[in-house]
Amino acid sequence: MPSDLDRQIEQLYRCEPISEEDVKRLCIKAREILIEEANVQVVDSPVTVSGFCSTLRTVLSTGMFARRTSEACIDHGDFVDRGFYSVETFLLLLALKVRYPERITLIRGNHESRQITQVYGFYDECQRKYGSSNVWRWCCEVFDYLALGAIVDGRVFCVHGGLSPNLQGIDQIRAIDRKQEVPHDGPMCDLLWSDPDDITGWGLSPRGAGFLFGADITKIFAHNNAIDLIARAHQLAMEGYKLMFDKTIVTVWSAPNYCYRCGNVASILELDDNLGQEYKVFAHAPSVRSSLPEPPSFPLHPPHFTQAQARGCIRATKREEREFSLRI
Amino acid sequence: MPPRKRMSVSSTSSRSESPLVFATAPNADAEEWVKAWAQVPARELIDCPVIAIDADTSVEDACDMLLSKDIACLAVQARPGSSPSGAPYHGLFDFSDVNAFLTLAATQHKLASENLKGRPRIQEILAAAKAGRVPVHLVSNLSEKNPLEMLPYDATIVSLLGVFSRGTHRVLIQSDTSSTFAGMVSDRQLPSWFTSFSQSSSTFLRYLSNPLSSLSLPSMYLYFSVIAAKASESVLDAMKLMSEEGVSTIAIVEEDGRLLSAVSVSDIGKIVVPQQDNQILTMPLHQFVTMIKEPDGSTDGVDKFPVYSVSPSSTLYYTMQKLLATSSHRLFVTDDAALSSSTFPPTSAGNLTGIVSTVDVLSLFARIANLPDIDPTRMQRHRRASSASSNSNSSGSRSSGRSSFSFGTGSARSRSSSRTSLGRLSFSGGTGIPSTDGKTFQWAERVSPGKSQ
Repeated sequence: MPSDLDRQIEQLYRCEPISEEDVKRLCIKAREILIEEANVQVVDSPVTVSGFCSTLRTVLSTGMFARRTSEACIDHGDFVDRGFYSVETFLLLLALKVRYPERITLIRGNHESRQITQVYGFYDECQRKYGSSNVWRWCCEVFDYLALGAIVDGRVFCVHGGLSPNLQGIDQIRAIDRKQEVPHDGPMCDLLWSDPDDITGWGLSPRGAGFLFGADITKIFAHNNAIDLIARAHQLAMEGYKLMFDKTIVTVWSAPNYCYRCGNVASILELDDNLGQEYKVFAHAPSVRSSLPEPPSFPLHPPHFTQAQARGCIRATKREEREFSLRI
Repeated sequence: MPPRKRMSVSSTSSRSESPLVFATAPNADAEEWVKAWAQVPARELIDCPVIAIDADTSVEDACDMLLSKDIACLAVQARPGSSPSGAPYHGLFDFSDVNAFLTLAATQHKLASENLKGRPRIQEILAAAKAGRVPVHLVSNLSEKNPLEMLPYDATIVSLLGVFSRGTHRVLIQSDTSSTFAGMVSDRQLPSWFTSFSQSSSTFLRYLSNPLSSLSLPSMYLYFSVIAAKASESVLDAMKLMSEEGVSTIAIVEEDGRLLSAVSVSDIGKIVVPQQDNQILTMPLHQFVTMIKEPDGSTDGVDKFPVYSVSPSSTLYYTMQKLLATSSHRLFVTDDAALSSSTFPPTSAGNLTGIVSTVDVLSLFARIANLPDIDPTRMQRHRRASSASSNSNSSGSRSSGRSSFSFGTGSARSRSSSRTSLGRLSFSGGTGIPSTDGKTFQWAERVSPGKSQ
């Protein structure tokens, strides 16, 4: 299996789809791992947090992901839809999860849903590439097992969307039965759909699901749950990340030039051992410079992956940090 | 950004625990509310100016104006000498009319000449199209959903309720001096106003905290109201449905009846109109829905939920808030009973059970105000009746097909087959795809019944 998996990783990394049979087995294996995870996964620092990163290959190519056993990352969901390589991207992420289960944490986004993927593109892509809806169905079954959030050192809470008027405490999230399609309302839906906004209290979201919540709500939640920061994604941040409400909440957006037209930059958030925050901003997929050491060694191409919807996170070496990151 | 009203604690719970009893407004309280409503002049709710357009402008240009100015409705000026009362406007023009026109253009080749008797306007439109140009005044209120309604300068909120609870979407308010108009009030202004009013009247707020299921809403239950098309049917099927049934939005459902999304006349205006050929008419609706949704969030990352819905236990307050937040005219009602079960994974969409619209909500308030003649479904029924008479094969099959629409009992199938058989003499395969008989659909001035390809 390990050599098969490495082969699949390499293939997916080159944006080549793997066989339907391979997909089936990969999805089953991923589910076996995910089913053991908590609704709110406990993660230790240091860790990199990424939201909606479409430059998976770039990020992978610039860092020695395979080599650094201490590397860990949390991925904020919205792995699919929009873009041309959702299938390869998501499967690559699953393959990496199976390969390095302790180092990657995947959090469910609002797009990891049957209803959304039927409308926003993933379903169509699966049909096109595999000629049937099997792959889509198996992926949706994996979605159902994804965690709803993560907590780093008990102090940084990661979720895809935001808060819910029905959830005052993180413990209440643990009580949700998450293994289902994303409901169209209720606390599980809110976690994946809500947005922070400049209002007081709660408001209904113009998205048609989830809520808008203001600074007061955010600070009360942070205080009651003894957390310093809520890290989330779900909304475009033109500068790659956006801190709000006296830095109690941050939107981390990792897809540069979203949909080829937004002209935004992207970022990932690095938390060190002391939960110090460093936002690494990148404007576009830089061309690849180095090859990865053993194993595996991936062939490196200029990334075409850019607009696919999957995320990986990586810590670059010191040398590459200077080359592509901006210190904030 | 202006500060928004905070939802008070009592109303943040979107579910109500009241048992299923018919909730009426207590009389003394109701009198108090109506008195307050009668104090507020309608003109304070004006939310858009009256934008006029010359009666002889082409339909194409008129639609272009709707799209480029991003407005819902234009006022068509009266042609000189045509209006004895001196009223400045002939009528209104909106996306429902656009849809009615496009549907007519796409299906006119099937209209047998006997159908045109007694429908002089359709004949005029077809004649104008043949001559190469259709002026907008012929298409004004073609949908029969967009009549020109006017209220005097001193009209109040109560007068607005009277108009909107009959199903119109907008009303012109006259100025105090000249025969001009101060502006237009659109129906979405009222739920907004009533929500604010509830912040100053605790008894009204309490009334709004009733669940939808306990209120007398005509369209909550499927067999009364939900017009839907299957995801596999075509865009033209959707257009015909909206035109013939007199609705501005229809549900799109999966084979098994689950709610996928919705299509509205403004989607038709925005996506079908700019097309250069008729390919889009045959596109399956699940693909069209993807086209509709694609721009959502592509410039700001704010993806939207594919369909806006509430459940029977949602409160009226929550429903009004959602109508406002999503800028919709109606929400689908889905039965979420399955969601509370933890024994099996429920579907995300739940079961579609009905619809609640702005008009339905305002009719409740109109009843409280003791307004006479409240009938939110009247315009819809009128439209259905007139469109049924224009279909050669419809006779009684339209109404029977529609009223028996439900899920899982097999009548969904009978409904679609009855629609399939309606007036589809030249349609192949019963899937609504127009036959390739050379009569291609062409927009506006290129609508030309006599031309063959």
